[in-house]
Amino acid sequence: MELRRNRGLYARAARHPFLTSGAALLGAGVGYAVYRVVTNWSKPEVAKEVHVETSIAVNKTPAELYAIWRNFGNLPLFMKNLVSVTDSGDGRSHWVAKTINGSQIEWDAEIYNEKKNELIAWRSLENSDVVNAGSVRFEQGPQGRGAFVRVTMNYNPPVGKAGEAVAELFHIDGAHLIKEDLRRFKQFVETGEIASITGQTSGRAEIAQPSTDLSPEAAATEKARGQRA
Amino acid sequence: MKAVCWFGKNDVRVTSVPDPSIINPHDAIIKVTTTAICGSDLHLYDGYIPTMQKGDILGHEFMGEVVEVGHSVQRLKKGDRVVVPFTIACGKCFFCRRDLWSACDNTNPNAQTAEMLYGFSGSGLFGYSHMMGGYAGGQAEYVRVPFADVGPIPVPPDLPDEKVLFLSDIFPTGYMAAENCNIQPGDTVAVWGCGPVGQFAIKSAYLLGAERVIAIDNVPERLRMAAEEGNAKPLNFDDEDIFGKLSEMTGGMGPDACIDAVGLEAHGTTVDALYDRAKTALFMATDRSHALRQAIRACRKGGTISVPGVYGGLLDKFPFGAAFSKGLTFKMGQTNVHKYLAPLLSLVENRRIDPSFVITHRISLKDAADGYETFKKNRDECIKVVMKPDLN
Ligand SMILES: NC(=O)c1ccc[n+]([C@@H]2O[C@H](COP(=O)([O-])OP(=O)(O)OC[C@H]3O[C@@H](n4cnc5c(N)ncnc54)[C@H](O)[C@@H]3O)[C@@H](O)[C@H]2O)c1
Ligand SMILES: [Zn+2]
Ligand SMILES: [Zn+2]
Repeated sequence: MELRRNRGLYARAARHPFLTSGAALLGAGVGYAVYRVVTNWSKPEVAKEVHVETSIAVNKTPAELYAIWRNFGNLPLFMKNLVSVTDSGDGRSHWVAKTINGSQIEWDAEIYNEKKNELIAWRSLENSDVVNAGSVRFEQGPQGRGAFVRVTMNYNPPVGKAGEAVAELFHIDGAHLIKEDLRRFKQFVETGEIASITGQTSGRAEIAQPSTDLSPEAAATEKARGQRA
Repeated sequence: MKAVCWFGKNDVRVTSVPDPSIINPHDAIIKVTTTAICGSDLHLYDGYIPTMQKGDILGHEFMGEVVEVGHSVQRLKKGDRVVVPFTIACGKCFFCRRDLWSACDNTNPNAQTAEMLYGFSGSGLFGYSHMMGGYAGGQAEYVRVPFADVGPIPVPPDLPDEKVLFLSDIFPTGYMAAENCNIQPGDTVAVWGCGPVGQFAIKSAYLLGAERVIAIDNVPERLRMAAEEGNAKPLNFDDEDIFGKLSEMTGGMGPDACIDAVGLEAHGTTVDALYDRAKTALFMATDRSHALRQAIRACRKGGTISVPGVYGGLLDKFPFGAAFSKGLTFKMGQTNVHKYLAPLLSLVENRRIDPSFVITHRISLKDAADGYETFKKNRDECIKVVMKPDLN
């Protein structure tokens, strides 16, 4: 996994030939980007452009993985910060993600490059608060290694109020969150569930009552049913 | 329910905790009928394994009856009597498909922590720190078992718990340790550590065709068990020069394979062992590797070092030059328990082995704190403690 931060003009990212691969990626990424900006407040004229790449081997064929990913409604099942993705059917989609404090950010995106079973690339529409672009590729791995899923994304800090709200709350490495989303994707696709100990019993007094927390898997299923927590 | 919880170094307590519940669709809930304390639990008890949290439920050797299954469980049913492997594996990933179950990619919810330390994460484990998944363990009345169709093995009703319980860990662990030695006709295998793992390694080495097994420890009753039950030649490291003796017994060649069934808390009174004690006390190294060093030095040229003993962090003064110049092979790791369940169960069914020979103490789960102390201090000639929740 690689995390690169370049100096660049805000406008450049909007036209950048990468498309975001998911809102969770994005929610995290945006938060991180803004955080970087805030912590570099002494140079306010320069927007930070963040570039992240990461990959994971999944024991399925590229075609299977492409099909799961291309059905955007599936993405919230494994992307932690994503609330929903609605496909409008014309290559455009509406994305809703939550920030760490529970507030939501929304934007519209379009697919601008796609090769069946190989590549999905999309970017936010112009005038989005959240400027991002990314791609996901599915490559056949060597024998017995399944497919390699490679995610690339670029994002720029949102401006105005939304950006500040996000900035306050993310103090985490965005690349790390993207990697965790990919790990959940792999678990979900390979096994049909996401490993979890959320809500399990222990001798800690504070959770001595049965927990009402949902496991990520259960939460994902709830989300898939369109119920918002 | 009652469960054995970890509260810190030398502090385990039997506490009331909420009953476990199904969290994921492939989970089952098992009512525990018998569970055991493992040498690995002592590493937790002694505070050597990081990322434990107060209140964590211990225990990774357990068996019992299925009382509830998640909606995606197909093979296992309510009422089945099963033994559960201590490693949690998905059955679907690259590693599971290659019989490397303890390297499963998909069962550690905290994989990123292990990755930071080790580069990559192994499978989740029951009751063995948050770095290894943080799963609640089976020293309890009930336990949640993920991937219930993959791990637990049903056992025949005519075999009592004590004969099958150790399929969960120490029998496969000893067996894999011996298998890793690639034993050939005429081979001498030396085993450091005559705890339960060492005892099973000794028996397994013979099952796999070893000519002779030499057992090394300094606890008389453990050496006695190795000799009487395991038919091994015992060597007490307090009384003997281990290198010299091994060399002499093998015509000056050294053992063909050496098994380190001691792990990171090796005892010793030689200079290197005292040095380890000082360094780990000062946190300049984390693991004491006295037994492993001795094994590397004693092993014959081109021989194999097999390490079932657990190591967690950094070794100091590791004789890599000796290993290199003799061209040694190293094999190690958490046991791929799933691989051994069926073949070892059939050894038990065919009466080739009765694993209950290691048990010295049978207690109620509520007396677990005592059990840990007795086991740790080798009190009362303790070698293996089994606990029953329904015993009073
Ligand atoms: N690889 C795995 O998956 C796996 C599974 C179970 C246990 N283990 C590990 O195996 C090891 C042994 O487990 P156990 O239950 O038998 O533990 P145990 O503590 O009962 O046995 C360890 C034995 O080693 C002896 N010993 C200490 N220092 C020695 C030395 N320098 N030379 C020779 N003997 C020495 C002790 O006297 C003791 O009898 C532990 O490290 C445990 O964590 C690993
Ligand atoms: Zn164990
Ligand atoms: Zn697996």
